[in-house]
Amino acid sequence: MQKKNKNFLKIALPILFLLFFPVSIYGQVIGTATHTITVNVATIAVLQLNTTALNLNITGDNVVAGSDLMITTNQTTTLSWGTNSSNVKITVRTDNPNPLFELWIEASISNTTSPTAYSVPEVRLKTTADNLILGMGRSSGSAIIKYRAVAYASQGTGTDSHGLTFTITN
Amino acid sequence: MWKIIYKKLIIIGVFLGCLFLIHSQSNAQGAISTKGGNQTISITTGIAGGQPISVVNTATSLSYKLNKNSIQKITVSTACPGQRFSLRVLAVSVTQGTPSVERTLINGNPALDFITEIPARAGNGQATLQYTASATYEQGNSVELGNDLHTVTYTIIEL
Repeated sequence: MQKKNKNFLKIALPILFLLFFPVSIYGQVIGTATHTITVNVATIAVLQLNTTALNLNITGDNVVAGSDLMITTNQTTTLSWGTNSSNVKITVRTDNPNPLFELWIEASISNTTSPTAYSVPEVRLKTTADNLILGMGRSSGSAIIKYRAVAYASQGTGTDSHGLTFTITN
Repeated sequence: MWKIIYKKLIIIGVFLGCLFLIHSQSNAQGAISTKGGNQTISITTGIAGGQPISVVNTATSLSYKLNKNSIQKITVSTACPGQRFSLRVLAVSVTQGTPSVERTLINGNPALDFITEIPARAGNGQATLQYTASATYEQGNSVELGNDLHTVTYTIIEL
């Protein structure tokens, strides 16, 4: 009879302990309230240039006598981007359909969060868009833009005006 | 004889437990509530060469009624399966208790202290909920990945 009581005690005491222990140790929950917060992130694709206008002057300085080719370069422009889309690239085009002289462009990526972004080799600007930077993925970064203007002595003098459009696109 | 006594003890214990649970539930009703409804926070712009711009929402608030004899606190937790973006919450303009530092809400994490040291018998308390949503470009967008839907739970605990 006493053995049965001891067994019974072994069961009863843990039950009573478990019933009240959590309240005494962890505190009593006396109320809860919930609501839902939805976080929506739109498709974002932004580009920024640090210059609005620049001039490339071919002066003929440093031209080798007897050579027809004259060149000048400019690397003062920085192009920055940010995109959270998975498959985008940056292209460039000019609005000048008939320039007298050649204008070439090339991007040199200076920093980026993308492990796969790369710039394409130098391209001559035209009115249809050419790829400038590819493989960006979801990333931000910046690149130095190198312009190279080319003229031949035989072309004479003149001025070309280019309106350049950089586009971040799929 | 002993068996009968212990059986009665168990019955009394269970009875007291039930009373405790009923009491807790009745206290829970109206003890804490959110106002302002459910919210959608949209991140729409970013900085070239930087990151998307965080968005702050203060359209909701927390009300709590405290008539207990002991110090209390409020904790916060979230359930957001497949969470991709960041969400933080801060209690501002707190009328009763001490606000904790801004809390980052992460799916599955344990509840974090949100407002502590709420005095006994403090009466009605209120706090504005300041949510800040942020994302990186690398985390992507909702068009491709879907929204984050957080069920945020505030729990008031008597210590």
